[in-house]
Amino acid sequence: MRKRKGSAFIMVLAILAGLVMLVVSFAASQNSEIKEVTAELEELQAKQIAQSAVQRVLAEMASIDENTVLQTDTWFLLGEENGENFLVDEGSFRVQILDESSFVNLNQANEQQLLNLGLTQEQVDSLLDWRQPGFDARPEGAKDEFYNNLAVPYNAALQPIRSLDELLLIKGWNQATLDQLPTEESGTPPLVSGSQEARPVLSNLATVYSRAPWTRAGGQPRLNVNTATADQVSQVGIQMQLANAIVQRRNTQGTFATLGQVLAVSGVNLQNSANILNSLSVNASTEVTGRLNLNTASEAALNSLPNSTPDITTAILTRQATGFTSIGDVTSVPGVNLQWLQQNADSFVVGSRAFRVRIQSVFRGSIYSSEALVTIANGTARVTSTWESSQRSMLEKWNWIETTTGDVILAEAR
Amino acid sequence: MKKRGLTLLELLVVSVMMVLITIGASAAYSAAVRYHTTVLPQREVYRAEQKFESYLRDLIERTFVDTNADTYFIFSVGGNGPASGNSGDRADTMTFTAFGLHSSGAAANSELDFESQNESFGPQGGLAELSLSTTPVGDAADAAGLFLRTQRPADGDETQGGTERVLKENIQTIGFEAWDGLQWINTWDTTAMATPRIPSLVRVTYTLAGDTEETEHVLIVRLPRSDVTADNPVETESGQ
Repeated sequence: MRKRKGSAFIMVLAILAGLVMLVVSFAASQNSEIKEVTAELEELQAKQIAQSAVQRVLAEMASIDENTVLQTDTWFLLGEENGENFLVDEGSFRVQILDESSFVNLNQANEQQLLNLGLTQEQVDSLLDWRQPGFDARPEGAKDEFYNNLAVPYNAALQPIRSLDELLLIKGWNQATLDQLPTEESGTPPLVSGSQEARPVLSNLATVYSRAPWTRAGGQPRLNVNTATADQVSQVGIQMQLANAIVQRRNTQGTFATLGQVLAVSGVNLQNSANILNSLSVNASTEVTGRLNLNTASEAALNSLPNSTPDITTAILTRQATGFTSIGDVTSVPGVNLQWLQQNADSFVVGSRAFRVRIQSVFRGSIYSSEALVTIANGTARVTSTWESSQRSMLEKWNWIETTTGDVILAEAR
Repeated sequence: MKKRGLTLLELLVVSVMMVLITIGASAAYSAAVRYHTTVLPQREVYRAEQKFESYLRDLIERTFVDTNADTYFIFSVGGNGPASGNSGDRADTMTFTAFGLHSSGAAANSELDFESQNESFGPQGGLAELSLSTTPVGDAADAAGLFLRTQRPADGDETQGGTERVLKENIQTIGFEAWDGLQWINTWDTTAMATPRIPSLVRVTYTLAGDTEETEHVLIVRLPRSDVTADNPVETESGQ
């Protein structure tokens, strides 16, 4: 009898245990379902917040003056520069706007400048072969003959590079070239003062998108020195004697290819060179590509210029705090002389029409990073491309600080 | 010890409890079963559609055309094979060059040299030439649906090259229309334009296998690189 009573109790316990296990497994599967859906929704929210970040940036860019793009402008101070974290409802985003003209343009850089960036001779030769017409390869470069013999063949572009990732098609280049510091030190001048570990990787130093307006102050067209008469040249504020000398130099030695050549005409000095830089052009174009913005150029970008000196780089960086409103302003930078201008004047602008936007948005546990290219056409800023970042958090790659210093509330949490 | 049976009351209470538990359990069970047999698959279908549409949108938004001969934006009817499943007056094939398409992550992390990387992963980066159609360019055997042809880098030959894969299997028909600033049109060919311009909007209309005749899925994509507006429309050949 007793034994049978005991067995009933054990049976009940067993059934109960079975039921509990059933309930627990059901709850567990529900729980994982909920987690999955929540994660999905959070990611969606994070992406939406990135969209609001883009709108915030575009609102800022609406008021930008493309002719003078300064570090004192509000777009420059938005976000990372001030350590700001923008709160949107329960999420947040961090944003940074960078001037593409603060980077070295790989379509314009010559062999020496490319070597200064820390690229190998093979990479430099191949890049130059890739972007220039012709079918004769440099010693370490490559033309169609090489690319046509690859496992998956294609032709060399023989024209300027149109997207940064096009570099991956060039012999000797890969993702590491863009994302990592060069391993062996070349005999080139240092790009940053102090530890070379602190120098930026190529993706944070180079671009192919930089463009800028090429006009006089106030947006009037520049005078084409290759077609103008001496009278016209003098009308932009250049002494008649010098105007005559410029036109005579053109008639005897052929058209000017660069403003640097104009500055080499006898009679040009540091004082009147500003006017030449501000008013003249060697063609009729109203836009230039690939020049450095004096106002935003980084130390490394300035130091990569073939004829740069660390002293002038430092002086330019100091002057950026107040800003260059015209290219001619560079003539008043300490250390700048006529020879330096002749070599470097054609590398600079003070405006910009292309900007790189970096966004990291967070919603609860979800982090979403993306980059966008904003260009200004006909005075209107628009996003022309967006890229989802390969990693969720790009803080390290973008050199962002770990935690922001201040919150800006864009929308209250409900 | 006196043996005692159960009282009627006890029996009633037990049976009522049993009934309640059974009803509750069976209701919960049937709800769970229904969820798994109907809601989950439906959600999967919905998700797949969302994923497809956002991917398609991302591809089309990347349209990039400049004055070089290796960039284009072309609508055609019938692909390069027999005309297929074209609904209404829409183009059924769209070929275009795309800017900044994602490269293979595997290639990005590989330590291989340039030549081996090309062999293992194919060319990386640069403009991509994409073609969307229900008619494959190559031999697709039994595969059907919407085909995506990708060629990197774009080579100036818009009719072939690269690799082709099925982007979505159950697409029955797909049609493309372009907004020229004034109206929706079904032809576009930047290679025939003196100054290549791309439409401001692309309208994609598609039907899935199993859809009823009236069901059409519509997706409108804005091309951020287009300069076409109502004030600055594209002159169409028909002169409309």
